[in-house]
Amino acid sequence: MDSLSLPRLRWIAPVLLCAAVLVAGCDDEELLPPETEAPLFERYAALGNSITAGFQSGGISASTQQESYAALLAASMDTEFNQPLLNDPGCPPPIVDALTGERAANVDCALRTTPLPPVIHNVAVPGAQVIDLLTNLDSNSSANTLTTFILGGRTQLEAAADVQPTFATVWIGNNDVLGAALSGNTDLITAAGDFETRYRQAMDSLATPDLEGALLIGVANPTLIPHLSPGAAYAQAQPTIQALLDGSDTGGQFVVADNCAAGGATSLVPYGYGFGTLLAQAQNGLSVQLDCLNDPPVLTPEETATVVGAVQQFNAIIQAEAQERGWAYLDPNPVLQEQQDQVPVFPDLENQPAIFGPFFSLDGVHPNGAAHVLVANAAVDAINAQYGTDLPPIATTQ
Amino acid sequence: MILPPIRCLLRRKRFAAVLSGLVGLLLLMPSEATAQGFSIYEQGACTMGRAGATVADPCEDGSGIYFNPAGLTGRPGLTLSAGATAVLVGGDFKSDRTGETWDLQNDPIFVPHLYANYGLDDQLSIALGAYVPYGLGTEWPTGDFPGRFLGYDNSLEAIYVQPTLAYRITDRISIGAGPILAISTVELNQQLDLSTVEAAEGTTFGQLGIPLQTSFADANLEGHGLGFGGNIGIQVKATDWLDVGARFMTPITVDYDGTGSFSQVETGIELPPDNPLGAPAGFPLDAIIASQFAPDSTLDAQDISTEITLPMQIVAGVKVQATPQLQVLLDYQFTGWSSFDVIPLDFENDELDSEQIEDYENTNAVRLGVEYELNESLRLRAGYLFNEAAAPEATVTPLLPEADRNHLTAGLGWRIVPNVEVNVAYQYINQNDRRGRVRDAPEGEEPTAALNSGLYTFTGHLIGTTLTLDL
Repeated sequence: MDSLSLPRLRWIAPVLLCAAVLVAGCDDEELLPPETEAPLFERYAALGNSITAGFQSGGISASTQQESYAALLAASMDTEFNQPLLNDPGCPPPIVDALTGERAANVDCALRTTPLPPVIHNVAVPGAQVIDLLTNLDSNSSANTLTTFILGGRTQLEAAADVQPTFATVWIGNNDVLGAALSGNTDLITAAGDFETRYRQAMDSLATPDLEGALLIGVANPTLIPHLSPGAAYAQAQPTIQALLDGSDTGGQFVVADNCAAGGATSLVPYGYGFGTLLAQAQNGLSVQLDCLNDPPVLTPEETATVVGAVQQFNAIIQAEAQERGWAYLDPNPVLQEQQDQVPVFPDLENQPAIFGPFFSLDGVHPNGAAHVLVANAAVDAINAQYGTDLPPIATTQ
Repeated sequence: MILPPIRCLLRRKRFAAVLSGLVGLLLLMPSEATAQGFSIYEQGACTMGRAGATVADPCEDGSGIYFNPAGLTGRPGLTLSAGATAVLVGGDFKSDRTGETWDLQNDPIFVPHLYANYGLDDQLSIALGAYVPYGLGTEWPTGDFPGRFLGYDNSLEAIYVQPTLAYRITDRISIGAGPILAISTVELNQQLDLSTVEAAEGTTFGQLGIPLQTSFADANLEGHGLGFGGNIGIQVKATDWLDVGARFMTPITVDYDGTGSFSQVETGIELPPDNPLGAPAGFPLDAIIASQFAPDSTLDAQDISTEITLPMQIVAGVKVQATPQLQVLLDYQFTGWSSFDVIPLDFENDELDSEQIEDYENTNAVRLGVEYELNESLRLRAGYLFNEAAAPEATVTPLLPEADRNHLTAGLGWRIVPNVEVNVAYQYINQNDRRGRVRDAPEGEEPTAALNSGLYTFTGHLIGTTLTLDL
């Protein structure tokens, strides 16, 4: 072996130095997703019923779901928000003609869109009452076809747990009184004791260590919705209703009893009864009469007072629950009442696209996209006030 | 009601996609591999101490059977070596969405090697070796680990058995070669996602509301196969201080035959009233699914077969005798992982046949090693190597969450008595963190990086030992 010169070694040191640097590897923080500006809203779950789910005009589809105040709120939070979107035309398809009840398509229910999201952030189910947050199988539960389509057999709380939410909104309880208002049967109102027990149990379950904040929204007063019209308004509109029948070969008589204009003037007649049941019978040649004091579906002043009383009682429970937990609370009724002058006392039959005014969809019960913006902005205000956050408002043009 | 009462679960065509992913991933294999893709380069403690830089002048323990058959010449007599490399790895997956982390739960494994080299004279040697250049495994927690549908407990072994002949053509040039018999086994354990399975023609359970990643079955797939190839090398002693070497290992296609077996995992779902499946309120979904596990049903055990091509390797390198005691070695390695692009899956039921797209990429590695002869009985070694990842960014999964890696090695050889040597080595693997996915692409779509939903980390510690007897 010949003599070996040290210069051969000169390149070794730099190479080994480079190797030492390289072996430190790449633990790159940039590989992680950017942190949410407000960690409070890192993971948001919305629980509720038809309003939160985005149900409008007696139906629900991807387009109505995306108008939900919850989706708008998530956009303001700049947080991920996957919804259990339902293919067009919907499940069921929304109504496109309030008078005939015609829907966007003649199908019962379209399927969920695919691909499925890893988790859904809007777990609200149309028809849900407070008890439905906890169980789908209790005899008092309102679980329905959409419960499976949205939750796949889980409860809302179970589905929300998948999100591991840092923030939640809960707008539930509307259906604990709505059924009474729409049917005139106050026996359908959930007993206050049951309401309180179930609501507290649900909030206990929701309040996991991950949850940093929440907004509880009170029960909307169903007697304010345009689906309910005063009996006097029916008395005044009787000629208009009769004119609808006179144009038909099979049209019968639609009579409004005197007690609607007099003693029953403040009774509330559900659109589903006046324009649904009675008008349909008249269209089949029968002679029908709306009796504002004796027809069971009509909400008498006493029944209206009972419903309103239940709403106030439920909202006191919800507000107390929010205060106890340090969460935000929003009473939706002032928001609705501010627009009350734009809510027609009787369906605007000449203005079919806005038969129930600018803030309600074609079923007269569920808010439309414009009303969801109002609710979302009220929610933004309530959250900002409670948590000192700076959520931006949602543009009213949305 | 949009569907008739349950009458058609788990349509076979749809289930083909589930099984195809499952078997495809079975063959994909694990992250405990210590070099690119699922290869293992640590087939001898002497070479391991040099970071695998050895092709120009393999260690004198017979490991040249793998690292360069030409390097077996010049050692008359019988050399026997046996050893193993202990592989201890750690890593985790961190979810973007929740920040939740799941740790790899691999137990230490031992990768053996065995070499016998008999030099008839200075010119000619015959040898036989068995080593494991591809394989290893990954084990993730079950429970809620979101990657359990791609595979949570997986293993692969590819043992190469190679008889070898080496011949010194001139004083400076040697060649060597040998055929390879590859004996391989693979196993994959994976859960199946009910949301992707058809409840009726053209309608999946997911479209009825069953959430993504609803486990309903545990699948165990095992396969065994053989393949044939070869390994050839050349060594040139260019000067008294410079050796040059190269080798080529052919790709080897292994045909696997095996069995897939399935057991039910309870979803615990009780169907709500008015559910679209038409079942009564409270009816357990598991009772509906259970029939699919009965004999001759879709989820009954069945034969499966497939093939995988273990990639070719081309290595070239130099050894510089820097001082009488110090040698420096540098290797470059090219591995043809692009052959691992599509896995055809052949089921007993032809309706289930499908393909799994992998799209692996060829890789490059650079190895730098130094060896210092402290005295006649003790040699010290150290090394560094860098290798690229074979998996493209769309295929970083729980089965092989690999990335570019930097390795540091150290080792020593101790000749206890003139004919007995013990070599030990340690290797540290630092893998770059890499984004990856824990779920498969929707049916009919190729996986993309858009599915990546978290960060994989990985580190490894390897300890190698080889005992060599010169008889």
